[in-house]
Amino acid sequence: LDHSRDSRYNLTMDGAPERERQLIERLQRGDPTALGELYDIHAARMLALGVRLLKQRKEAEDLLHDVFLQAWEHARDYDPARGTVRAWLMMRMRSRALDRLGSAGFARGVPLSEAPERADHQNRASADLEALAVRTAISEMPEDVRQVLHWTYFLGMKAHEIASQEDMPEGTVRSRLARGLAMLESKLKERDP
Amino acid sequence: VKRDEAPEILAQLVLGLEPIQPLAASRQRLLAAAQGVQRFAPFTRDFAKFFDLEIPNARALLEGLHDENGWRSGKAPGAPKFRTFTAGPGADGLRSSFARLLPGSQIARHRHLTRELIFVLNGAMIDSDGRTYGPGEVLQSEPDSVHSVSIGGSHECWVASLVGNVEIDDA
Repeated sequence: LDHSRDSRYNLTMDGAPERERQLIERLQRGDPTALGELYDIHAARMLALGVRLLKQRKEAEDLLHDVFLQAWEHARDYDPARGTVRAWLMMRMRSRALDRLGSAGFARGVPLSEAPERADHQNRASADLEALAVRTAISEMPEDVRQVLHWTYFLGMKAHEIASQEDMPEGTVRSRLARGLAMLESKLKERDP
Repeated sequence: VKRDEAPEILAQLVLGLEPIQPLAASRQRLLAAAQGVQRFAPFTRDFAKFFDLEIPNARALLEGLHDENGWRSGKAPGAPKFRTFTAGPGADGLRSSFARLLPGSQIARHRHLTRELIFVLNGAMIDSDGRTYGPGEVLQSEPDSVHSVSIGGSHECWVASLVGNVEIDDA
């Protein structure tokens, strides 16, 4: 799926935050304290992603260690023009997790109930408005839409692979995906009009 | 540069998951590695390129710097600790070594008879033209060029170098 010409996703395209850019510069100069700061910012989300994919806390925590060491070694390859630090780290985490699992077999084995859970955001005091917007959007999505988003972005599946797995037209997959992204975009715009 | 939006969307969707705080010991283990045996890992690829080494070999050499036993002390008081290694064929037969230069020390003005390359791993090296070279930066000198260098800051300056013959320049 190519969203590169779709202006709806500009909210994700506003560049790496300044603090993270400075962190990466320090990381690229071999400053280990920068690695610690980057870890403090992203590790909890990355571990959540790892646990979601691997289903095992210990395995995910080991993977988190490996991914951060890999990011440390590859820090000088990071190019802010290509995306945010957050996305760079999440993709490394996802990629390594799927490597461990064998992505195809794992994808078929994900039951419907394993799609992103409905968030009880009304009761959660969260200062992270972006996270709240995402949780709200996900909680309001129909199950079939959430699941297509999960397969596409968490498991890295193509539309035709999802269509084949679920025995549905590829167009249906694409329309659910577009609907989910539009809902996500809408909530993020409400947060940051 | 074309940006791929799928990673950005993944990163946003991950915000919908409940964060899971890693164990404190996990953070400590990571930083211990980054401050220890993996200290120079961010320079592995550039080091390999400049010294014409395979990545695994470059990685092993940089990891080995953590072992104090591999360092030899210079004969003169205040002389840098050093250790030699074998660079690849692209090093043109120049002498390859690591050195730990003391803060405040200087290398007197000299003329290069061959090319020279100094890859800074840690600390700061100040060239006589006023430029400061920090970690990951490379000072390259051409044959017949003349300069001196000094070590700034308060920490040892660790470098990897390719060095040929030089002569002291009294001009």
